[in-house]
Amino acid sequence: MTKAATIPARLRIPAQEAALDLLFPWLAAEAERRGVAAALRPRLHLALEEAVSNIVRHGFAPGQEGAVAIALEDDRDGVRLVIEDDGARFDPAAATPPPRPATLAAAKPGGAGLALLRHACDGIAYEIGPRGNCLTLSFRPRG
Amino acid sequence: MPIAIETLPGNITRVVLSRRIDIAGARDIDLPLSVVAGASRAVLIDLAAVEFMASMGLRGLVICAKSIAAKKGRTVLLAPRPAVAEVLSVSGIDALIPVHATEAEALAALAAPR
Repeated sequence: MTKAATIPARLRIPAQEAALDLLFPWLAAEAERRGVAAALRPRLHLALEEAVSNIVRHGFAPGQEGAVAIALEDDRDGVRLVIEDDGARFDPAAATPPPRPATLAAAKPGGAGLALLRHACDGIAYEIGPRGNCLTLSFRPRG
Repeated sequence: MPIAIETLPGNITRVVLSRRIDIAGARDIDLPLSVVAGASRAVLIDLAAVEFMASMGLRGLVICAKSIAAKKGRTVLLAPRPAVAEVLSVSGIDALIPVHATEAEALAALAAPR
């Protein structure tokens, strides 16, 4: 078996905090296999973490089982991450990020995920697909 | 571990973070940072060796800085790389926890009278 064959083209993880550790190793290997430009990789990592951790933390009731499937695909002039989950319907493209906190005392730990997700991507598309939520995040070289 | 802690003269705690403060990295730094927050009132968090930070990592920094501020202490951040500085800026954290480019500036900020 070749090394490339051991990297699943599509990563499927249970919707659990502990499974989030699998995101970066998979993304790093898949980006390498596809020859994704080095400059794009930190933004892919940031967007993937923010999107999937949001799904895992907010998309499912306590104790509810679920799954998240992720694929990296070539796009016209860049790449896209396609993230599908069977949790509560949520469209991050339509949601309003919370305002930036004015003081440290008012800062909500972990409240920046949506703003960072939007910053990292060049496009966010959401639809309800056969598996539930289907989020397509697109990335193009910048500057 | 992507975290090392040392005590500097003047009761300043220096926290050196490194590598990736992603979900796994955040888990590694949360407990040590909460110990620092409980024991220190002047904390310098050195970000120069951090390659990547996401919101779960910011969360640990915010919890630590909030706890120190609640007891009238100070936290400063030192020398983030451009990608990390961008994350601090987009999240608005750089307006809440001062960011300094050099260690001399960071130490002076911690020592400055109120």
